[in-house]
Amino acid sequence: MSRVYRIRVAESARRHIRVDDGFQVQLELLNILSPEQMSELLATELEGLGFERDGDRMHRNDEDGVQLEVDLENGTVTARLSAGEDVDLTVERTRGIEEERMAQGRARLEEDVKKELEREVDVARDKLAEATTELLEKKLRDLRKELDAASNRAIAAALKVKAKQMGQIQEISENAETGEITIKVQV
Amino acid sequence: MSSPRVSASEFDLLSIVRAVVGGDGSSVAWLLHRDRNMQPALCPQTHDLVQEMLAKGVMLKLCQLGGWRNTRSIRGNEVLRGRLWERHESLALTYTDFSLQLLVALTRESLEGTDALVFRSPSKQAPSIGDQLVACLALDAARESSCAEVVARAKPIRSAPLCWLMHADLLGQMGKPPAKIDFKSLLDGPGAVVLEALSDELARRWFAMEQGKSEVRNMADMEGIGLGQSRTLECFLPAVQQAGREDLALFVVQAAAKLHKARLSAQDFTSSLQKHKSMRERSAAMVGAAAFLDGLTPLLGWVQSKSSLRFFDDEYEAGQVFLEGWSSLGTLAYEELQSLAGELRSFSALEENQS
Repeated sequence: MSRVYRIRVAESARRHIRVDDGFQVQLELLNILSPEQMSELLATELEGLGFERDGDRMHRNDEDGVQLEVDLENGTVTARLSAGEDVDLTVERTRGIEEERMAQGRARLEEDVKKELEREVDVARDKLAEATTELLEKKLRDLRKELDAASNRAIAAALKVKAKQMGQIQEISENAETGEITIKVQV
Repeated sequence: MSSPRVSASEFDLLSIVRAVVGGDGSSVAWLLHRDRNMQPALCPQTHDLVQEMLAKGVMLKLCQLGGWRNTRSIRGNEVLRGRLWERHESLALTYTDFSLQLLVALTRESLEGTDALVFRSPSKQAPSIGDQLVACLALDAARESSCAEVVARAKPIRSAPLCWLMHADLLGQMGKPPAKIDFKSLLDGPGAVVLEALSDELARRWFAMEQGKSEVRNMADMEGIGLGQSRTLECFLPAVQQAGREDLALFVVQAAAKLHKARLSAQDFTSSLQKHKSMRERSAAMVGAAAFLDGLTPLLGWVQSKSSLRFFDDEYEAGQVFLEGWSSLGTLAYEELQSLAGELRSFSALEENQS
């Protein structure tokens, strides 16, 4: 009867894992004035929120790592987030292998350990991706409030310009809570 | 006179050809899932029979799909009226080695467990209009036999512009569309005649693509469908406008009109999409869901330019054909569809799709 030996194989790896995620949405901006004028009003509001202008685009890099871009021409908002981390992983497995199958047995055990290590790397990458997605989901909610408010202010400014074009403005009342704006114009 | 004698594998080939041109792919599903040993070259009788079946069958199919309709089309600045064979003196469709290789590939290999259909010796020449029709009909047959992916991944199939018009959703799902799809061959001569005949069928298919989005579960599939649709329209619409054949794009207007009538909401498009995916995938899926609606954008410009034509302008009559087709949709409905596209790409649509 052949002997059985307990063989232990350990494999370590240090990997840098990186995930990228992002989203793109469309801002709704009523064309009360011409598209170019509406873009300028929106640009003014976005500058107030810390966006920097570069031609037809506005950029902002937030503290949480999210990079934002607004295309003033088509109203597209793009958010990007890259995350990376270094992971140190070790996988160790022990298996009983018969003496006459030592070479194949060891080779198979080493292959299994390598595969297990790759699976661990994938798990770490999936966890990082999940965390990144969660961050972006929160960003989506916060950004929506922020940009909806900016759009509403741009629309209010456009309404005032339009009202001036129609006649003499007699009264403007704004409800900061509801965002309602009432303009009385003598035509 | 005795009937021609063919081998068992050639008999199966002829059965598949009959099913492809006859539009009855499901009847030969079992034939498409078998490997066969085929001789490198077909016997002359089989070759002649295939050519005859294609010549008669494809033409009959074209008439059935819409050639029989009494409608209008444009030749130069002239408007032609009548059924397809009344508007055009003749339609010469040729079938090259492309068609034969496609049909032999369908017969030779089982489509089960294969990644993509392989042509034994693909030609460098572009497929003829007849070949492109055969490719579209083969995709129809494959869809009915649940092996459409294998055919849709084949490079020669993906090189046929008519396949992109008829199966933009499937081809988009099965791989990245080419950077440019050249539709020139379909805008003049026999290609344009074929597109005229297929106008109603194309409208039906593009409307079905939109309806089908409500059942798409996989976000990558929705993204793929959208990519296929947007690349097709991005390349087709400018080509049609440059050729002065905006009437050939009226199927897009008809599909949009059907979609408007169906009163689908943004939720209808994405109701089956699975959640728990990355933001990028969800965002790309929403863009895919809106792809056809976004693709309609150039049409309003066409309406404005056709409306400004005066009755003594050469293109006036042709412009009226387009405007009459446009009236089935109208500017108000167009704007409502654009608004729907905006909804699909909005913050709220993406938020609703969160885990």
